[in-house]
Amino acid sequence: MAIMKISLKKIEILLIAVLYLAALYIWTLPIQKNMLPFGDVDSSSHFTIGDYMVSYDRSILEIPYPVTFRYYGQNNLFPALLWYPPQYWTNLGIMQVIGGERILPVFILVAVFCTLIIISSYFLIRSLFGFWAAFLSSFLLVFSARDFMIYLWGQWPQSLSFAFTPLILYCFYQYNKHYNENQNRQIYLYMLALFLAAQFFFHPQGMVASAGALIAYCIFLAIKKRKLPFNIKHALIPIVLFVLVSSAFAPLNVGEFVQELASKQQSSSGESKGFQLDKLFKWYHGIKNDPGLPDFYFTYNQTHGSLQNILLSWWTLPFLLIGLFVLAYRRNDEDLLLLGWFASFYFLTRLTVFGYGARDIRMFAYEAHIFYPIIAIGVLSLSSLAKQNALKKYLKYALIMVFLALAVSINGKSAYDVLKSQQYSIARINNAQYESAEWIRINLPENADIYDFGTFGYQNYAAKIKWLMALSQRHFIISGSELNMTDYIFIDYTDALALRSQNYLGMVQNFESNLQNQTPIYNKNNIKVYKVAGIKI
Amino acid sequence: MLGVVLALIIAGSFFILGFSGLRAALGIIILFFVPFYLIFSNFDLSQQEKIIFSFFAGISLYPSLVYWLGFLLPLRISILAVFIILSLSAYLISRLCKRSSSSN
Repeated sequence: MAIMKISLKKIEILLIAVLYLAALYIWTLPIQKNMLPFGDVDSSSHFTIGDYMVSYDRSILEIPYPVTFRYYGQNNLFPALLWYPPQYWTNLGIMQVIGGERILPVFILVAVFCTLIIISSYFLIRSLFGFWAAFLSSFLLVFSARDFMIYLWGQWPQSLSFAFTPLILYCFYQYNKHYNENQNRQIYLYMLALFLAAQFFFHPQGMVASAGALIAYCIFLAIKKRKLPFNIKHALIPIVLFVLVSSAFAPLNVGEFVQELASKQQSSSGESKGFQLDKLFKWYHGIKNDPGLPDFYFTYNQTHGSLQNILLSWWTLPFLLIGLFVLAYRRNDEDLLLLGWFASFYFLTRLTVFGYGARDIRMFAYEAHIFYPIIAIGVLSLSSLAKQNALKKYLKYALIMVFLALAVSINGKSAYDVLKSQQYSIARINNAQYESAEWIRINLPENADIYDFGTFGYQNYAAKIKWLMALSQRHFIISGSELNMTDYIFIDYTDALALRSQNYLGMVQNFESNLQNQTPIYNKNNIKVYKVAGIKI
Repeated sequence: MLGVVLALIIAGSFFILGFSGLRAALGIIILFFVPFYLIFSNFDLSQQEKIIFSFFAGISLYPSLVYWLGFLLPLRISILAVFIILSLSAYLISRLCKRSSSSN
């Protein structure tokens, strides 16, 4: 019997290892046949700081000149200094060094970091609800649109920060469990403090999410057991440890975080926003046409089913509701933990109701981390409908098969299609652009200001322009107000040619005709660079 | 079992991303995971806890130390130096724990 138990444990461990490798295979699809950078929004910014550290072979404190145009002042207390704690970027720099390449090792580590929630969630749910709840939940997380969209949008530090929450909840759960048995296992509180500090390093939103879940869980436990779920003296050392570790390793960001937390939302006229009670009754706030996020981000079926918006993409919702009912009905300590996490999520995504928290919409990013374990519990609980034990067992495995089949055919297919489509997306830097950025990095002065005409999205100074800035380590103009600073013009035909658009091509040619009296200092692979200091654009 | 899983991860990384994947996996395991696993092996934790805690502590504390040392030493040297310091710390902690348990 003991031998059989050990073998089952090994099989479980191998299964989760294989699952994680499968996740890495899917999430690295964008870089499997195309080893150039990808990512929208902030991705180039997160790449560039580690890249600078490796280039200069030293740590940096001040924002590099090209990056100041986007991030100067974002650290309210030290406007010229890095806007986040440096740990995430340092990790990417370390990967460049040990991987021996500039791009691919970094993106491998980013994929690992963005998928760590699969492991940490498994670890927590396995200890609370057993193997199948944990495995099914993590299986679904592999295809989580909430998570892979954050990955593609480049909000990488936030993604890693949220992956620590299950560990923090695990640590408190274990401490409380032993505390109830009159056993003193303070090591769990020390680890909890360390992981909270880690969340602060990577992105304070994760820390806020964990704090909220812990508070809600403690309240539920206190109501159930009519006593505090921890010893106040035990709690003091982790608090001190958290403050010490955070202050030691992110001293320049502590004050900024406190200031941001306390800030009220502002309307466009600069006045504080008042209560918005209607949002209490709309799960996704009724948001449409948000300037920063696509509409599908505020739907259930597309973010937890398929981006194709088919009827079956609602398949997880009934199980979610069943799972919530089961947890509320049973109310074991393990159930209260998930309910506390759920309740805190609801509250934190509605801070706007009270006029606080400019980032409550961004808190939806960890929705799947709570929903999917509840969905798995909902599915597995249905097997208890059978009266006979043998039938229960068959029903359980039948439900598991149905779950896996739906997860793969609906969620999995959607995730695979989106990630594979990134391999040759026009939004990615191409070889010619990468080569020209490298030439610029070596040949143009560090304070050069470059205006890009022709790269896809140039009209809106979009993500590719920012990637060119990161790869060349030179300032590419990203705002109309910077145009009069132009020292060089970057003329790029490559995307127009790739799209085979005569109109697009014509526009670039027409613009370049203004420079017919100039000789390009770089002319290769349909990209030219002109020195134009003093010429008005 | 840990060895089997690590071998699986390394082999899987090579299969998915070739030599770059292999080198990345080895680097992540050796730098971020091993020193902290050796440190946590001295504490009263289960094997799964040691593995998970080690990795997550490693990706948080390792770059913290490298970053600050990177103001005094070249970054590449700092990466190596922190690895050596952490490995030595693991050894010292192990000796201290053995000494205190034998004196008890």
